[in-house]
Amino acid sequence: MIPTLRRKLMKVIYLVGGYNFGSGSSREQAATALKHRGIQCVIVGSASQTYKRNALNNGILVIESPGLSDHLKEKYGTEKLTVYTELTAEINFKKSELKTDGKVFEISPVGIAAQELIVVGGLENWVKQNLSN
Amino acid sequence: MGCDFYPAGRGIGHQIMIEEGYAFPGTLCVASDSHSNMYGGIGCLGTPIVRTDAAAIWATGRTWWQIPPVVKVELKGELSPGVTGKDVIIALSGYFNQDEVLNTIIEFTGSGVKNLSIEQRLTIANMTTEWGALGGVFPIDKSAIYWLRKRVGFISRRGLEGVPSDSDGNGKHPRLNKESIDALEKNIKALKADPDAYYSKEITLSLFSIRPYVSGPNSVKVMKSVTELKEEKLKINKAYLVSCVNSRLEDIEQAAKLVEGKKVAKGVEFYIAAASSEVQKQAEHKGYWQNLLEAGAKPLPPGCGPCIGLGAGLLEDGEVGISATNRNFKGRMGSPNAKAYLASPGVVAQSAISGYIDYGFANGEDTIRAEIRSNTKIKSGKSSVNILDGFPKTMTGRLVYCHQNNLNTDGIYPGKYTYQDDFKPEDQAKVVMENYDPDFAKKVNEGDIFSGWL
Repeated sequence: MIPTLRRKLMKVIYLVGGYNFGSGSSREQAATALKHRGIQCVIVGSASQTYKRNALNNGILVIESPGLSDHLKEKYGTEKLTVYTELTAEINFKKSELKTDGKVFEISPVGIAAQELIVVGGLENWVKQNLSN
Repeated sequence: MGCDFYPAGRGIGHQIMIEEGYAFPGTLCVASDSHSNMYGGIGCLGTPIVRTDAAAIWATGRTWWQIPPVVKVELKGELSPGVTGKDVIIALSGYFNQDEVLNTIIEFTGSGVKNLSIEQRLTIANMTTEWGALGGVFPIDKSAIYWLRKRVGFISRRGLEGVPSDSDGNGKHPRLNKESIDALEKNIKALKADPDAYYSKEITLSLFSIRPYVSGPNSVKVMKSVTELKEEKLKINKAYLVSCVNSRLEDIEQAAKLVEGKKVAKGVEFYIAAASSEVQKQAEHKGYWQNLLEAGAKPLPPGCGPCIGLGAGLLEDGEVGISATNRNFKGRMGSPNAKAYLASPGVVAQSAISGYIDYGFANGEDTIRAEIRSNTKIKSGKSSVNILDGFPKTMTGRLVYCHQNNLNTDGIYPGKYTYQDDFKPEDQAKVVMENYDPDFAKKVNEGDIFSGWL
């Protein structure tokens, strides 16, 4: 075991969706409900701008990776609404890439502003922190 | 410092943002309303934000924004007499009506831009919202600088408005003054798109080919030329010359000249409201306002009103309205059983006089000449992202796949739970994706525990 890395028993679920994910209303629960179900990160072909903003402001990452979305569609088809795949994926945020199923997919870069929001758990905490500073 | 406050009656917020220079060319300016796009008319990137974000900006002075894909819209030629900026944006929304510019920022360019007045640009930029874009920005050209200098002159004669930010200007207007415009003019000399700038789409439009159009009913994705529609003699009950998109001096002038010496048709109510108290004063000074009143138009105070279904003069059941506003969603201007059409101030005024949708225009050829091209981004090589302390460099997780495209917020979180205030996080977790896949919440989380590195 590499001593510099903290090993954690944890559950990370990535929800992979299609294109134009989260269009429609601006209700924030569409983002928070996924978080409360234990989904830390949503990876989609593309997402509604409002949805992305709501999600990040609530501390949930929305990443765009058309390549991954297309790959899973090819692999699993569209028969089942939800496929609980056996695949694990490793996201490298520094390189903006995701490795799974023996392939490397490009992801939209997660910039400093987004990272700040994720680290503190959303906009409300971010404001509190910036006010106290 | 306090908040700059302009009381009711001073005008529509977006108009004040322009008149008082808050929406300053070359800057990014946000407001908690969807028509913030309007600031693009003066070369300021205006984009809407939600109120929570607005509060956070007031508290911290900071926000985040992901730069959307940019679409170039090249305007060529010039508009025929009687055709306006409103017709241009109605045409763009109705012609490219397959979400071509959804969630993008539009950059207006081309030799036709110089032939559009700042007021027309503001109208076009305002309604890029309806077209689906997050912003629509015009270049800061000679006309923009000329317009700003005129405004500086007006303000120096008028004096300051007595708001807290005045103290930033040492007696001068804190934003619109000779020095600020001189500096802007100097800075914009170097402001040009890079020769290899990437645009996700490129659209060209011939302004010559634009005709007076009417958009609707109840959608901006449908339009017809007025010349075609007037044959139907579509009877109207109400006409509106109001709102942030079309109630500036040039708009009021266009309408006033058409109604001069005429009367509003029997059975038609024609409502007018200036975009601001200053616009109204100027319109009065020029006699336009009186022309409209003498024709029988009903004045409303400068501000938002029927356009968002507020105040007097709303559309009632079964009525038809023609409106120089920006949005004709079903029920927005009153009853959901009414029909709302959008058009330029001239078409609205002529229709109010005729009693049906009407406008005098020698049509000629009626084909929009426009093209669209989608571009593929050429990869510019790997860039490395800086990682903050506390944010993982890598993260491993299990993939759960939902194939549906356009999975909307009702699919993810049913509308019926949205306003149940006693709903707790665990309740949200139980119903998530219910409309899409009722088994989703049950299955996800079962046996998904595994080891990962953080």
